[in-house]
Amino acid sequence: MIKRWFSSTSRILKPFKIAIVGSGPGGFYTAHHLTNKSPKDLQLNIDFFEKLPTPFGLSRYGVAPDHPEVKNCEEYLIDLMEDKKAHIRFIGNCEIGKDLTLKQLEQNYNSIILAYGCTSNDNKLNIPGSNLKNIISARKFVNWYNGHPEYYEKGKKFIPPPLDKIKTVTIIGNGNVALDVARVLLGSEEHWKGTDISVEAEELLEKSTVEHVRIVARRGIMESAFTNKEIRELFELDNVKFIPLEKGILESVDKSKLGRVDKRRISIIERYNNSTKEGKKSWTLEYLKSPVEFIGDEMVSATTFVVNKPLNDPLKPGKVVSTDQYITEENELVIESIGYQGTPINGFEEIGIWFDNNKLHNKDGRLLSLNSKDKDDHNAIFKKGWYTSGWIKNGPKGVIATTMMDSFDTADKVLEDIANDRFIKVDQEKDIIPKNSITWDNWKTLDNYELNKGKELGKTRYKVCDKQEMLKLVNK
Amino acid sequence: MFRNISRSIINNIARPRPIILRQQQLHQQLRFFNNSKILSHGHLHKPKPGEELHITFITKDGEQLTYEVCEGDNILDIAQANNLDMEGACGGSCACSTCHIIVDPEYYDNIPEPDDDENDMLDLAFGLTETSRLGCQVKMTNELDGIRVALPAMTRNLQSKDFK
Ligand SMILES: Cc1cc2nc3c(=O)[nH]c(=O)nc-3n(C[C@H](O)[C@H](O)[C@H](O)COP(=O)(O)OP(=O)(O)OC[C@H]3O[C@@H](n4cnc5c(N)ncnc54)[C@H](O)[C@@H]3O)c2cc1C
Ligand code: FES
Repeated sequence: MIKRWFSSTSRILKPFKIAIVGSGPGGFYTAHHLTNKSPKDLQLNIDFFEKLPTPFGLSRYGVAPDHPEVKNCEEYLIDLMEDKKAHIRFIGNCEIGKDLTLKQLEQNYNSIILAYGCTSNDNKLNIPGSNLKNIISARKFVNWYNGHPEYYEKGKKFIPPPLDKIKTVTIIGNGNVALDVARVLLGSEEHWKGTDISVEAEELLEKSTVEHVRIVARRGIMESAFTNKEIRELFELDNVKFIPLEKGILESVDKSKLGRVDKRRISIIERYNNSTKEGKKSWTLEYLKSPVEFIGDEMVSATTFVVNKPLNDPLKPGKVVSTDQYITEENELVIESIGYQGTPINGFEEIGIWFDNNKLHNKDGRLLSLNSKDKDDHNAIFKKGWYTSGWIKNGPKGVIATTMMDSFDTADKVLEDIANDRFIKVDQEKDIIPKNSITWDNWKTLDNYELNKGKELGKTRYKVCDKQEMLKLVNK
Repeated sequence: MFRNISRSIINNIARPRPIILRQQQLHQQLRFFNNSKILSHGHLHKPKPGEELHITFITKDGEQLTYEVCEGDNILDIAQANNLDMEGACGGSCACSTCHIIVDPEYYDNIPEPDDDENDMLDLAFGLTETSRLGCQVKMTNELDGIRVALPAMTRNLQSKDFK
């Protein structure tokens, strides 16, 4: 008798188990909202699975070292871990798809949220000369200056571009990542000193001979992908000169039709376009040019662009067509910043999760089953108990505030489904956590080490970049 | 154009109903339970009799809530002290835009103009209007007595240009 009563009400008595794959903003904002909005009688136990030994995702390994205020978002995870110690675990150094399978998660958790970001691959230009030396992706460059462990592995270490031997750099794309990279190349020694930039990057940047950075985009000024905050920062860098836009670019803008954000963008550019600020280094913002060939033997020495012109079709806003005019400009380094790319986790197909075209298919954060593939939107079949948040949900775009709002949305869906009895029923009571994983206390040890060593060196933090060293520091 | 839209959002919702003195109630409650945590967290002061300023929030569901507050209180603190849905993720340091409010155009010009830092963050806010401000950057003054602000409904309208 008693037994039966227990089993029928087990939902209320037994804590509800949630797995979150990835401990970046997408993961921790989802967890924050889940714990904040769940009914009082529902005890949530949340496990974060993180591939790296360190938490925070792109807040640690993407956000530029001179944006410490952006990294304040990390407080959300720290608060969660400290306030709810008994119910939330950080399981670092545990890659889902490798150290644990998706199947194992499904057998052990009631709801699973995939928030593993889009940082394993990037879009690439596929044009003649692409395999020349000194053409790299922005993602690799960012990972290097931010000390990402996969770029400091013994035997597989990333070789940074020879910044101490080159003068001119072309960055392709003008999103915020492109502007971050430009700031790294243009900012003075003092600008980076004291930040948590990797020590190797700091040392190479001190010896940098870069004089000019060109930021080139395919479309026009109104299609600029940067935010106003980032472009203003670049304009305001000390000792750096902005070379005015090519004639005609600003003149082509009809300001009377612009909304608030665009109007401000144009007014910022106008303000600095005419400034007389001098500097040792310089940069340009170039529009309506698509790279068609990289030139050089062994190393890149120039890029040929085709000149585009706006189509000016109101039905296809921002669209451009190429002209028959070409220009070739010298550059000794090319950094492609044309977007990060989502990749699948091992085993999606096997358990019926629908991933293709770099997309994890979902509807408002609920994962779609592989069986939805040939169905129209209305007949979509959900993969019960599985959700997604962050960049992997919508593609690699959106600042942290966007990621936050959107993660709250996913968390609402999880709670709604729990209330309606839609979740994975598990009866296994096995703990599947691998022995050598990193706990939150381990991370605190590493965190303290980094902060203390940073203090010695006059940096906000000294990042340990080598994973083996991290593991050794926490006795794993 | 945007100014008109935000005006119509605000005008479509009925004019204020009788004032709900939530702020006062909250103070009473706090005294009763001797719990000063929220107070110090929100940095709110109790207005002196006769010096109360009024602010009305229009929530995402269209509900109107009016509070009596003190000169100098900022709108984020007021909202949070009253448990309104305002995230304030960066703790009011003008670095996140999650305290976005839409101000009744009738009061908008009474607020000192936003500086570049506030504009930078506003430009990233959801559902930006011509009368949008960041709650953490707006302090109550005599000129703002009676101000009405709407909490923007959370849109799922992601801007693909935000971050590439
Ligand atoms: C270079 C760069 C600079 C940026 N700068 C800013 C900025 O200044 N301001 C701003 O607001 N936004 C900025 N952003 C955007 C911001 O970083 C993102 O909005 C946010 O980090 C997305 O969060 P996420 O959790 O989806 O992904 P991520 O932050 O990438 O987190 C995903 C996590 O999952 C882990 N993971 C991956 N695969 C697995 C697996 N198989 N198993 C377990 N764990 C796994 C990863 O290691 C990572 O920790 C920047 C982005 C980039 C790329
Ligand atoms: S609370 Fe972050 S900008 Fe106002």
